[in-house]
Amino acid sequence: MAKHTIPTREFLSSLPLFSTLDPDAISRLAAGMSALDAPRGTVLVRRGDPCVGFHVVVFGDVKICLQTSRGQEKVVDLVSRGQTFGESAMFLGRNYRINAEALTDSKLLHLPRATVVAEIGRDPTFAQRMIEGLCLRLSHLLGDVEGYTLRSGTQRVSAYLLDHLPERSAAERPAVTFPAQKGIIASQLNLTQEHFSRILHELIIAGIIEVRGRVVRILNAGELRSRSA
Amino acid sequence: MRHDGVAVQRRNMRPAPREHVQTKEERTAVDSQRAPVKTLLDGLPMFACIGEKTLGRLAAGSREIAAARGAVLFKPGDTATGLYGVIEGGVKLALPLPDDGEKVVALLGPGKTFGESAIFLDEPHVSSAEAVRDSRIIHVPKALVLAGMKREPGFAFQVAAALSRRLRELMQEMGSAGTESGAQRTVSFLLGELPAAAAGAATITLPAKKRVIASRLDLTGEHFSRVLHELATESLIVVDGPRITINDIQRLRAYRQRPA
Repeated sequence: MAKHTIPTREFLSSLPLFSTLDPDAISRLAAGMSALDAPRGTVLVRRGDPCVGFHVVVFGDVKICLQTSRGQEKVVDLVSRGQTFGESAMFLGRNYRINAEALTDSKLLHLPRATVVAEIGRDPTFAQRMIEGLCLRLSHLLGDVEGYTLRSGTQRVSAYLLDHLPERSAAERPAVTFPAQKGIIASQLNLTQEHFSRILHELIIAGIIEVRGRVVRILNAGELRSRSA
Repeated sequence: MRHDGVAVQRRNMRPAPREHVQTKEERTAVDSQRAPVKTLLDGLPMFACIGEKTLGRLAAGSREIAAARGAVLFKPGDTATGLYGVIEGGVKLALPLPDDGEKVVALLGPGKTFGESAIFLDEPHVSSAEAVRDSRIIHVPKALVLAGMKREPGFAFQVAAALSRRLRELMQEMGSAGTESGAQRTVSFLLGELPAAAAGAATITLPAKKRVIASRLDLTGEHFSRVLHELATESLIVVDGPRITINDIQRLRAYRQRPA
């Protein structure tokens, strides 16, 4: 895992977390950061490691997992370009409770706790952005909890596909690309891999989707929407 | 003598007479129990490191709410008006389910705060908040929270830490849903209720009715009772109403690890 010290300021300013900061603040943060290249399969964070800051993904995909008490792995999040992880352990000053692993060749920035603390002391809006990030994550997680409590497997899969449609999809038959292997998506949706495959199969038979490898083409968005409700 | 007579009389009367006229001494006693809002705020960990001046400003705009058991503080869809802190009692946060059901997502006892998320995201509440026992709650308006954070970075940090803790708990729950047995989830919950430094044996008081805790753990009320019964049979715990004594914390921890 090679370390560089060339975090791009343009990249930082493009992230919601840093977008309201002035150039001086960006420079201060950039000065404290380190960049790391994480080839596919790199373990970035292991449960029990001390947390000394948080990570921002520049490109690539990172899988965030919990280990259950019986040693199984449960994917709780997939983090990609512009997204962050590790803030909660950082704010609590506790060891990591998650494992983080690069699913594809990735590049990340690491922002040390001391730099974050100093900037929060200087600029209250930075504190507010960080807090908003935590709140968004919280509201997303609550949605997940609601999802697995309330909705059937088919509803969860349909809702996942609709949530992951490209934002400006004018395409008549838009496609969703799974950011990871199906087993990982299944775990994130709290389904067994077999159950997940069965649901996809049902949707294919009903003529609602078409699946080729990781690419899912939506043939009938209206029907998918009604199955997600 | 007269005072003794009154005391006896009151003991004999159930329920206590509401129209009982307070003596001056009694009124003073009640007033001195009612701490000023500032002291109450200061007692919440989130506000513990705030400077005197900022604390004063926050307290001036905050109010204490007496929430009887069952009182609803907000419902899903309500506009977020501020941050709440539990002084006494307990509050459950729940997501609504179809058919009048609900999924309890947090049970908060004294010292805990809630309602932060809706303030910062500027969105209506997604959950409901309801007192699960007679409670005293403090409400700090949104604008004051935001102003307080601007004045004191340490406070902003505490807010971030409180949210981080909630995130961790929820994550943990997502990790255990579907992969841990009901008994393991129950044991995790009991261990989570222990004070940080607890060792050996310890007694906890359940923060809400068993039915509410069962929902929090994604169990039916019957299943939860059965699990407690099993743990008691293995003499891991002793259940006495809402009080649960853990005989040996290490043994209970070991129980969580073992295959279901």
